[in-house]
Parts: sequence; structure tokens; C-alpha cells
Amino acid sequence: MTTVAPSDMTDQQAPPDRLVVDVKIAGGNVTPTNAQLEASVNEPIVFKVDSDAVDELHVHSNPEHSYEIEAKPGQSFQFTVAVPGKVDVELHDLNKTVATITVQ
Amino acid sequence: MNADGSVSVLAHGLGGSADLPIPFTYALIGAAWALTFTFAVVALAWKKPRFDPDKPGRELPPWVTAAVDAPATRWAVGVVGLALAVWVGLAAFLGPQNSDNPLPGVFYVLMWVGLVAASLLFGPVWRALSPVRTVHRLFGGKSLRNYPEALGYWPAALGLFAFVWLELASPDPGSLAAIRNWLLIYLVVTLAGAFVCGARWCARADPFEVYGIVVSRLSALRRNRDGRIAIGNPFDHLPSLPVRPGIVAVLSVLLGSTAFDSFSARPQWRTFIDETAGSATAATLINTTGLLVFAGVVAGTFWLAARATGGVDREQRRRLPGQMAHSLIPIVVGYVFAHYLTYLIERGQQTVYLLLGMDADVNYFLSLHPSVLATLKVGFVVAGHVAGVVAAHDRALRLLPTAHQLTGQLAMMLVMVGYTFTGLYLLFGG
Repeated sequence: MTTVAPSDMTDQQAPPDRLVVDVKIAGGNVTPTNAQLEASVNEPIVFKVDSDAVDELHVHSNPEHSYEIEAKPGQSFQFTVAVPGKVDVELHDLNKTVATITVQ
Repeated sequence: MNADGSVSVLAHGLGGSADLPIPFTYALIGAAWALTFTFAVVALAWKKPRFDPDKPGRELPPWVTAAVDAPATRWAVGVVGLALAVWVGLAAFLGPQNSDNPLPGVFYVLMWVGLVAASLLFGPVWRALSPVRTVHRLFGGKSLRNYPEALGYWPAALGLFAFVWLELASPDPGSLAAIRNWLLIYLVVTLAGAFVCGARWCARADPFEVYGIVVSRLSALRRNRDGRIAIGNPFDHLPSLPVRPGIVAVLSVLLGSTAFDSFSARPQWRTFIDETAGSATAATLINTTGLLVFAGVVAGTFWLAARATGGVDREQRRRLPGQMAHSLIPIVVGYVFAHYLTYLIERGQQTVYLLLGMDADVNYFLSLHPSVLATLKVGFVVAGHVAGVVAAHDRALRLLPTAHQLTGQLAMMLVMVGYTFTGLYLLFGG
């Protein structure tokens, strides 16, 4: 019986690559703002949103995506970006940039 | 906060993603080439001026000039320009009031960047296409008085600033209402100017025509003294830029605004705006100040560098910035292409499809090949820089007294290196 040191283990069980961004909208404030994130082309990107107000999440990729945010916790929006570039994700009504994702 | 018809707040009101920053090594290699070329030109290159705007180019066959200048061609092109303007106007008011409206693309891509490409390839095309000129001619081309010569290009510099202000500093650049209002004001001012001061108003005060004239000086196509269309060395063509009051301001607005475009997209600047500005008005004020500072720094450094030479009297020194202004043209053009090439090619396709009501897929070749794109961008900036340095060197040989030809160029070369390093730094993203 041999024991396997953690460093010898393969990472076959690592979760699939995806970028998860937690967004909180409360009282007209949003966190984060202007977050600088990185992702690869076609990698799933998930925005998990807790909000107390209705808004729209705009993803300025090619082509663009737009999601309706409701006033409730635990909403989740997933998309992928196929064309490399810097993608701004903004809240339309609050007029705030949540994050800029560098996709390459 | 956003007016009706708003499409998006960011990215020049066009939506979509922005270019990836260029890799650091690309910026570094570009900077090294720019620096090497500059000193090679100043220290080792020719000592007698070589470029002469009076040197005739190689004449194209006479029928080319005859065909281009035929009244029928002029009217046909003018009517096409007018028809396009009416079509875009109809689309602006009656088309879908959302991101499917072609107006922002026509305004920010075709009129701003497409104009540069067309003027570079074919010469000052806006002169022939301008809907205002065509309307003015349809009404007999009369005028009440002459254009006040003292105004020079200042009205155009103001108009160009108004354009970049809408794009980079106004609260909502993507708002269809804002673009429509801008264009209506432009049409009213330019038409009134044309009917009061004649067609010369269009040549001096229409921002798009002056932008086109400036860029066309880098074109290989030109007219000889006798009016024949010819093809020749763009370096002979550059010094034919008319030197009028406000020409340095025109070029400074173009270069400074392009730099501010990259700068204002940086996260540090956006965070600063978010934290400092309590309202959209305050954000607009800060961005307006930023835009003015960028254009002002370009104008100030260029003005000082052009005058920083010995051996000239006061009157000569006063004229130097205008006489050197043409050497900024290649830098502006290189910079515009480095920043807006993907806009021109990818958003350009999108805009044409929207305008024609076609449902075609945009080809994203450039964005999909970031290293090709980065190489092109650095190539444009460095080529523009080298051409600017060559033009400035040659002009200095013609203008400066022999004893000051080497030292008199140094300040200008350093300023140009400064523009190029800043440009590469902004493309690299800091």
C-alpha cells in the first residue's frame, strides 16, 4: 500500500475552465466596477447577479449580448466570446462598467 | 440618464468589443525602430532639400483628367453624395431606433475613418461628394460676400473638435438623437456658410472637407500645376498643404483626440471618472477637459518645437509652426489607422450591411488574428513616424539657415519621438 502525495496527483479532476463573476447591485451601487478580467476564446463566462433593482446587462462583444436583470438574488447569465478583444460588460440603467474582459 | 434611442454608452457609441492591447515586445520593437530611424535621418541623411511641391508628378493619360473633371461626372458624384445623405437621413429618423440603426456606424466609421482611407487613396473626395456643395450648386452657387481669410481653418478645427467631443466626451455618444442633432447643426452651419461666403466656406470651414484635404496630401495621386492628374512621390505632395491660420489646431485635434480615445478607455481613467464625477454632467466636463488637454499638449509641443531654432528672425519664427505642419500628416494618418483599422474593416462591413438591409455575417479576420493586427498597428505608427520625420527633416533643410539645420531639428525630432512613444504605450495598454 503506497500513499500518493497530493503533488503527484494529476489535475484530471479540475473543473472545466470557466470565468465566474459575482455581481451585487444594492441601493444604486454595484460591485465590482471596472474589474479587469481575462478569459479565453469560447470559454464559458458566467455572471452571477444579486440585484435589488431592474437593469440590463450589456455584453459588448461581437456579436453583442443583452440580459434583463430582475430585482432578485441568484440570477445567472452565461455566454461565450468567439472573437478576441476587450469586452466591456456594463449595466445599462446604472451606466456603470462592471468589468472589462480581455478575451484572447 | 440615457435619452431615447440610446444604443450603448461605451466604445464610441458603436458597441462591440475593442481591440486587444498589443504585446509589450511589439511596442518595444516599434519604439526602437522609431528611435533608430529618427537619429539616422537627422544625422546621416541628405543635406540638401529633395522634396518640392512644384515638382510635377508622372502624368496620367489626358482622358483621366478629362473624365474626372467633366461636369457630368461632377454632377453625378455630387448627386450620389446627396442621395446617400438623404438615405442616411431617412434611416436615422425612420429606421429602427436601436442598435440596428446604421447611423452611428455611418457617422463614426464611414465618415470619420472611411474618409481618411478614401482621401489617402483617391485625393480629397469629400469635395466631390459633399451634399452641402451639391445643394449650393443646385441653387446657382451664389454668395453674399467673400470668406474672411483671417478665419483660416479655425472653423474646421472647431468642427473637428465638436465631432471628437461627441464621440469621446459627450454623455451618450451612441444616442441616435445626439448624432442626429450634431448632423443637423453641421448641415445648418455649413449650408449657411456656403450661401453667405460661397464654396470657399466648404473648403476652409467644413470639418470633413478639411480633414479630407489634409489627408489627401499624403496621397500618391495629385494634380500638377496645370491641373493634370498625376501620380508622384507623396513627399513632394505633403508640402503643398496650404498654410493658413488654424492648420496646427486642425492636426492637433486629430492627433490628440486619437490618443485620448485610447487613454480614456484605460481602467484607471474610468475608475477616476467614476470616483470623481457625481453626475453625467461632471463626467462630461472632466472628459472635455481631458480632450482639450490632449489636443492642447500636441499643439503646444509642436508649436514650441517648430520655433526652437537659432538663426531666424521673429517674423520667420512666427511662420515656422505652420510651415512644418504638413509633417504631422503622416503621424496622424498612421495613428488613425493603428487605432481604427478594425473599426473601418469590421464595423464598416456591419454598417454597410445595416445600410443595405442585408443579413450577412461580418468577417472578423483581423480580430481573429491578433498578432497580424498588432504587427499592422505597430507598422502604421512607425511608418507614420518615419514619414513625419523625413518630411520635417527635408522642410528644415529648406527653411533653416545652414548653421542651424542640425540643432534646429532636434526639438522637433524629440517631440515626434514623444508622440510615437506615447502612441505605442497607449496601444500596449500600459
